[in-house]
Amino acid sequence: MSAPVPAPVPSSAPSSVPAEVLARARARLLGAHSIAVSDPAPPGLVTASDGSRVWLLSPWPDGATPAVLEEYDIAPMPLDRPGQARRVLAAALRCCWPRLDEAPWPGERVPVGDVLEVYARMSRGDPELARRWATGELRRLHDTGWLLLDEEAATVRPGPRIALWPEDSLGSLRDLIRRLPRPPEPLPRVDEQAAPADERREPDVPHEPQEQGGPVEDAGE
Amino acid sequence: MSELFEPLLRSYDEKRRAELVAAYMAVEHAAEPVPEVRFPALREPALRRTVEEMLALSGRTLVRTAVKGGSPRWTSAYRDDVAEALAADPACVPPPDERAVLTLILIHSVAIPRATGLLPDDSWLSPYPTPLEELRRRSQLPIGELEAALRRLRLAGLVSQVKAGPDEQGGFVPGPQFHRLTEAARRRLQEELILAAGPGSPLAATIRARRHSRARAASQQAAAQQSGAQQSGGAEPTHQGENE
Repeated sequence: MSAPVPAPVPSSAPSSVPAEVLARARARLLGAHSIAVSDPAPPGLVTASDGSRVWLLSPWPDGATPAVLEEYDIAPMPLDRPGQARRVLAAALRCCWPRLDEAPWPGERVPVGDVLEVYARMSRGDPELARRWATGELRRLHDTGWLLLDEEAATVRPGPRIALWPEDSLGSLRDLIRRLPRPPEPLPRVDEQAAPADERREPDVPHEPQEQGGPVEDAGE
Repeated sequence: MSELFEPLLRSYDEKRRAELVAAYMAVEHAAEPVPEVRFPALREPALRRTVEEMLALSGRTLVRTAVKGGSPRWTSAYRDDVAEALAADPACVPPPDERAVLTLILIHSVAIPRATGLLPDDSWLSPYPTPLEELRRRSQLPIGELEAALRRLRLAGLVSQVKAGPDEQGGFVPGPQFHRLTEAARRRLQEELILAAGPGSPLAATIRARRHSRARAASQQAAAQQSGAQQSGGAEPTHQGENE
């Protein structure tokens, strides 16, 4: 779903639909797909940029979220294991959102193994099984735009949907994330907070993060 | 975040505005069609028109679902003209393995029970799951690819998984997205199912002939419009007419 998607529909499409309506319909259908920063974003969409790509998301009126369904006691689209999905997302945020006083987006790119390790420590039972469950959940969270998973490089970072969280809704989330187990590599002391993610990444993966499986194996210790 | 909707919502007071937003979010995000009685903005025709206009901004429309002795229910779907344009865009069409798996599920869970009178003619939801083994055998996909296709179909709400019970086999059935079909989409899907399940049947031949003549008429109309537009210098793009 968030794989590279060709440029928007050619304007020659045999259709009488206004181009901006079709562009919004397309963005809705493709989920959180991205375009290059240099490409113009269709009007009326919400955008989240990490500096090189821009993700296009459908807007919600008046800042409403699907949580409004709860007020009406109406079931949202079903998720297979919503509790597990939320916990894996929380474990990922624990790793990808090291500076909690900042916004979670765009966050940090971290080894998948770190997230699996945090999730395993959060879970009761067989840690190996927990890691396997979490791996599937990471894929689903990627497919739905909550996380950006790079399976080749075995890294994960926050997804563009996280960019839509309004700042005033993040308080309790920050408290929750703080209480989760730390990622396997010791987090830096407060006064060194800017350095560690870069230090950790740069010596191992200078430019292209193509090391397959390395981070996962490290974290599996 | 809501500039898109502002021109439509501006004239309403706070209460009405909140009702419109709630109805919009409900039809867009609920798993099933929502009851009209619960949402003032779906109950009152004038407000409902505004909900419809909000949806139309992204190529969506309201769909009223069949009433079974109760109050009407509403959900949303892509407008037919938008669905057609999206289907012509390769990036918007699911890959062949997903389509193949979905077709197998529709044949097994809907077409066959319908043919034997177990399912009503107009239902796309089914209590008859297609077993994984059936999908594996018929699709001839390697298990990894089949499972990946099923994962994406389930995430998209196109397929739901049914757990095996003591006496029943588990498997997959069409998902909640099948509520989101306009009249024309239901008709088209019905035709596609006939073409897939009985390509050699007389009914399939009729469908092909009808489509052929319709396509010819459409291309003639398009040619006529194009020459008309050239003469008038092109029309201002506006919103399409409302669906029923």
